[in-house]
Amino acid sequence: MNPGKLNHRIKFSRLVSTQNESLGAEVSFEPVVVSDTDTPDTTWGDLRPPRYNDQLALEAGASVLNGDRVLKIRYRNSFQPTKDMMFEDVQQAQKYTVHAILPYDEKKKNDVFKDREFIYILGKKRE
Amino acid sequence: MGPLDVVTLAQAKIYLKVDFADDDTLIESIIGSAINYVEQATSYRLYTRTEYKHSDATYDVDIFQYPITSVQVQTIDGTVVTWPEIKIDPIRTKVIFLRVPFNNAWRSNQGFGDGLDNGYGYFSGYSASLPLYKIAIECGYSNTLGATYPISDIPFAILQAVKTIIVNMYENRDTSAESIPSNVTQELQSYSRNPMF
Repeated sequence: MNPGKLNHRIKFSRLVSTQNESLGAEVSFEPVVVSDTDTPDTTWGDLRPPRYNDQLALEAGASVLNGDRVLKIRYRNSFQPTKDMMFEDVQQAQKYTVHAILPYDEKKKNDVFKDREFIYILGKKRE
Repeated sequence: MGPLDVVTLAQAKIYLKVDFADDDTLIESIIGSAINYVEQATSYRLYTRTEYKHSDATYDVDIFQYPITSVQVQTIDGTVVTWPEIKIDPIRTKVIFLRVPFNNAWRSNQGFGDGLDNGYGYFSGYSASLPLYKIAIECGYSNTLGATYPISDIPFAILQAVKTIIVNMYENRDTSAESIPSNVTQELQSYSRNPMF
């Protein structure tokens, strides 16, 4: 892995619904801590279009559309992505909802750090 | 002073695009390894320390470490010896052990000469092949104010090589097959002060 490929600033947020007495359920996004920096909700990631293997890794029936992207970030103990999260490519101001966490690693099968090196997230493009 | 004064943990993490604390200890040890690798390959010393070489005063001693602040010859028990000629040169520092005549009282009193430890010499003018002297070499770049060789004088290419090796060691820490990139080893060769290479 060339760290230079982790060249997108990615901001994570989580869907939170609160009950409002007059309006009913109110949905908002609150930031998720992913890094130990001054901008804790932002980290470095690699964004690429999904490949055929990514589709194979998905559950049956799940589809991949044109604008979807696979996000690759470094594995860290303090952060586990969930499907109620959303991430944003800060430079492009493009938001994606977390559709699936892909259960594989690009590295070799006998790799002792397998699944502990990177996290792969399939993001659905939000209009 | 230590390796982390040359490349800080924060600098390495920026270069690695690591923005969490899980691997801090690992990255710190990798910084030390990478700097050691570069120092072995070039004979540059990137942070200050005292290194020792030993000699029996039979041959002159070449010192390849760079940069050198001072060189001192001592006996094994630490007494400073002044008779060797020390030439600190930017190209090659050399300790010249002037040949003391065998009958010199100072030398014969040391009780060495023919290796039999009896005070008599077998080969005139040569001492026994025992490490009689140690050469204390103060070397390395320093981060103290007003230092002759400040840490900012380290060539950028060497610092870049350290960072590239840090990335290589971090990304391939789980495999044994990966080697240091050839462009880095070639770059380091151009800085090598060892005449063998």
